[in-house]
Amino acid sequence: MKLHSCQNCWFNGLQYGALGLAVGYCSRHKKILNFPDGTTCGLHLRKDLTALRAKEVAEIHSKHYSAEFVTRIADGGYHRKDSSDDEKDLNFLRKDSVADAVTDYGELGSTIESLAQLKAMPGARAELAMLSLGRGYINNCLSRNGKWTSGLHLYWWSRLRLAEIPEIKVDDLRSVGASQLSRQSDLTSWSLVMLRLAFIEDITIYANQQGDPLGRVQSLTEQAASALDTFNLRALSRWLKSQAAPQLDARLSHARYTELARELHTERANAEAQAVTPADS
Amino acid sequence: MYFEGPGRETPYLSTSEEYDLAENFANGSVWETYVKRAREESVGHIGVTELLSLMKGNGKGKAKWANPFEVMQARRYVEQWGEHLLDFREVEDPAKATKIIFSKA
Repeated sequence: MKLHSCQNCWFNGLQYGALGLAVGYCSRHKKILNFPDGTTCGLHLRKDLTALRAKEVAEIHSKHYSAEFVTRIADGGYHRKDSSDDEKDLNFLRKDSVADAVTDYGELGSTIESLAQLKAMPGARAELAMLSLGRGYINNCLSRNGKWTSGLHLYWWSRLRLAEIPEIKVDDLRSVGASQLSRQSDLTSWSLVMLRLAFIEDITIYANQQGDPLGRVQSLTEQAASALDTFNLRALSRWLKSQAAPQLDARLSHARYTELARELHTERANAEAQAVTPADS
Repeated sequence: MYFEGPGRETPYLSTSEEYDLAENFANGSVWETYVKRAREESVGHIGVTELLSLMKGNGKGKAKWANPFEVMQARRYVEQWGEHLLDFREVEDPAKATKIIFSKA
């Protein structure tokens, strides 16, 4: 497993480890990834790490690979066949509903709409796409001096399904790896819950940077790893329900979520009104 | 098979003991070696069973790491992809040793 390959990048919503389609899709380069286990680029951010660590590692990585092209990890070379933006290929890929939302992401400013669409879709691959692209979305908002609440709804949706164990179907898997099929399914399910937890942790880190009480939750990924010695999904679900959820809810209850959502809505409405006014006058 | 890359600088080299997996990830460019051959060049070997036993909590012994989440993720990779490590800590010139012990499959 090459951890710096496109399959393990925030901007590829179609794959993560054994989970996903045969091809990936890069939402930054707007290309289908034909060799996602062997390619990378200078924009790469690792899905399997929390935000701060992913950025730390990306600092080093970006010095070795071009941000402009999807290139081979082995030699940094560009190979035309490694990626595609051919309309025929894209139309074929879009026959898959998750891929359709993923390829739409960012087109005509439709980022949050695509994420909402993914949230409503059933299945592990839809959640993977929402979490993966969602991390990029929030990071982008924050890098433009946005508030952590830009990810408020994404956070809440993930909080609601926090202790649910995702069902992995046979056709969700792109490889059985070195284990038996059922074990691979369990490990893949585990990896998706950890991605969910990493996503929530990203938000708590951003909340902490902006002085919000939600930021006082200690690293949930580290707590989970310290508490759980084996990859037992039932034990994980129990831990999430009894240990993780109460910590989050103590700092962001449903009532507080509603209040923050209302503020967010008012701020957006005001910003839109201001944007319209100069042109009208 | 090489798993290394900039940003993952360690004295260890991750490898897979599953040839099919290596071929899948490497897109045909698989390099192989044997534990015996590696040891002849002072390159150590940490097998799957040993790795799994070391990678719990913050990791034990050689696998000790500040962040238990990263240890857990690595443990999953070991099981999921049959990864094991070559250990270059006792090697004076890792680049030279790598050239000697690996051959293209």
